[in-house]
Amino acid sequence: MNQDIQGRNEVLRLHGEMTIYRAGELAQQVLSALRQQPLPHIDLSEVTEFDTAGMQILLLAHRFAAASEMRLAIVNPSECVREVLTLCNLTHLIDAQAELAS
Amino acid sequence: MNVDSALPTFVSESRELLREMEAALLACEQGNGDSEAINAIFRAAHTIKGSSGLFGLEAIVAFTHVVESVLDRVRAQTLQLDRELAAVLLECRDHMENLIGSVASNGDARSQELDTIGARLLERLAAVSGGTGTAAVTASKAPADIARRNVETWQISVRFHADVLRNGMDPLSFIRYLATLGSITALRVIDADLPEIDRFDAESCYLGFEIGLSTDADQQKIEAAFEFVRDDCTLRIAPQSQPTAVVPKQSEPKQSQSVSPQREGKQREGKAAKEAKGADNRSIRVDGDKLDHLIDLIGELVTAGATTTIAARKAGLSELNESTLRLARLVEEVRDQALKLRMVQIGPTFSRFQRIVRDVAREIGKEIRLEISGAETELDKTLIESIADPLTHLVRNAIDHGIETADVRRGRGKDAQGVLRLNACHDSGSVVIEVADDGGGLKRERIIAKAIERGLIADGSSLTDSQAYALIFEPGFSTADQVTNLSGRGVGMDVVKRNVAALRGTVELESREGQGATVRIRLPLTLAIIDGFLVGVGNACFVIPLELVEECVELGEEGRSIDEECRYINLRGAVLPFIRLRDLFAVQGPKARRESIVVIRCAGKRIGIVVDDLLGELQTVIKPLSRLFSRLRGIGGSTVLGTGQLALILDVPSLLEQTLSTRAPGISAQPMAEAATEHGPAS
Repeated sequence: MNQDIQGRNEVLRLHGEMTIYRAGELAQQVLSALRQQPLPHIDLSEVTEFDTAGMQILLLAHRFAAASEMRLAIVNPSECVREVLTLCNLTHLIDAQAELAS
Repeated sequence: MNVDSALPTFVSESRELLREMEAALLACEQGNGDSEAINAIFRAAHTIKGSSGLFGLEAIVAFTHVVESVLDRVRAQTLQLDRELAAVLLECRDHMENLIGSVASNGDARSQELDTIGARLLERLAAVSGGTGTAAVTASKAPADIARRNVETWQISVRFHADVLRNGMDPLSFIRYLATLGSITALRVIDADLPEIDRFDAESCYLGFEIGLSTDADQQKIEAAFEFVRDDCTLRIAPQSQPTAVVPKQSEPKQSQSVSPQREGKQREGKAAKEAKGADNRSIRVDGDKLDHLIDLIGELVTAGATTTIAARKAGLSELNESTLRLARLVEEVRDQALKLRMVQIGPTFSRFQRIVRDVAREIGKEIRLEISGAETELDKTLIESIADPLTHLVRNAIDHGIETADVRRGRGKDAQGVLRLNACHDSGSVVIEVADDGGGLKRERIIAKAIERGLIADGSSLTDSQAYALIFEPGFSTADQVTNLSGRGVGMDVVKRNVAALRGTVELESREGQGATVRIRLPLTLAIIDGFLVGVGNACFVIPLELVEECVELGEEGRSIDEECRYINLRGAVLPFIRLRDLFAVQGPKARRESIVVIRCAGKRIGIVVDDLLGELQTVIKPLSRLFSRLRGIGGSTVLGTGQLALILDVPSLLEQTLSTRAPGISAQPMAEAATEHGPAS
């Protein structure tokens, strides 16, 4: 997992599996990004596997951002992420605008 | 969870699952597979995949995933499980077993060789199943079918419990599976239970799903989709035409008897699943070494108890006597229970032969059916482990030489399909295991001719049938016309006999030419402790296994006076051959004034053992003799008496065999006497 700095936006790029095996570690990273950054971007283009645990983290992050009126952008979902989100009717989590911007 | 320490459990559980999978696949291959069997196959693959994932065994996950997807289609009835597919799946199962074996030995399932085999198998699986494409294939197929049948829309409301992810299940896979049953018309993720971020545990599941499913499957089938998470979710299924308010975690009495609606409370749905789970929970895994140690200690306890009883009797205190007796009874019960712990059913050992019979029969082009009876017969775990090899020899022999080819069988007016029977039962303190076939039987002339050719005997005319058949247990004996790569190399039967004898067992053979042969193995129930009958000869003590003792009679003048060469008496009109332990083991010491005969029945034969004193019953912990005495015949082990004295345990079957054969001229009891003297200093 890398934390890239791209322009003004700090992008948290998640790599590899986003599953139960790494859920604890990933949740920590996502949540600390949320706490520290004003405009967090989570880039999912390098995610190779995505399960319920992964989806749960996105849902939690999304809800936290909404509650604290912060703008969270989940961008560039990889194929497997998109498949799950489509199946679950959760494609609204993806920020298409920010995707274009970044 | 400490992953490494859990690995052995994973390996043994996976092997168990693979055995179930094998049995179910074989049933399917023979056309006896029902949905239960298919579910068992799927469950095995599914669980192994899930657990392998927990251990990060990618190679197993990747391979099993493909197998599972094919099975998924079988389960969804979009793919027919025919003979061909079952055969490939069996090979896939074998590969999974190899992968797991590699994990067990190297800690990893990756190797160039295994990968190649796996890839080749998956190609064949794809060819047979028409592509290993997963859910997508079936999902597009299913809606087309739906139009023709009675399609209904169901409202499925499922709340997963916190532990579902930790238990290796991914709720998404159940949603994907639902999609194969029909088409999902609506789906909403319920995330209302997600906690505040500081209380969020990433490994717990907080989600639920509301799903609209349009399908022709009935409620039962939809419920079955959640079979593997029954315990880990709250499920409610209702037809949509019947408007019901969707209230999370409130269950209809019909589908769930929820006692505790709280989130951690485990809610079980489906009686069958519940009962199956109950049965699982009743058994626990125990390290075999711990059990052996326990049995060992109890053995010592029995010996110590005997010492105490003797001391108490000497002290002559009635209270002490009473309490030692009570103690002795308890020790006896503890011993029985502890020994029962080691007892396992022979069924799984027998079932393993289904596969061997199938593979071997196929290889040599015979049609053979395996029938199993007495699978619930229990015997000592060590015995079960040690008997598997001899049984394999016998089964292969029966398939290879016993049962004829279909053509020959038809010519002889028999059913083209041969039958091989495995049977087990208890019989007066021993376990009898039979391997029977309905093949050609043994040919007496051929055996005798071969025995003469090999120089085992000079002339066969005087031999009885059973003596002639016994020749095939001689080393290096084989009558097969054709040497196949399975048997017929002249090894086998002698090994069988040696292995069984090492377990204090015997082998018998019964045969009828043209109708088949039966090999009967007789084994003691347990190896550790026996009820014994203590006898004295001179200053030495011997123990005879109690279950073999029929009666004790005094050896009258008539028996004592007759000349030494003629060793039998008239026991109530029947001839009873007898042996004198004093002569047999060259026991020193003055001759007793009176002698008794202990009448023993073993393997259908009766024999008397002449001793000086009858010292009564006792529980005996068998201490094996050291390897130095492994060639010693007639003695099965030793035991320490309560007084600290050493007693030798008679190995009656071998004693019997030897005695009966010494009656034939030319062989004398000399080696025994030598052996006994050799043993002298140790005692």
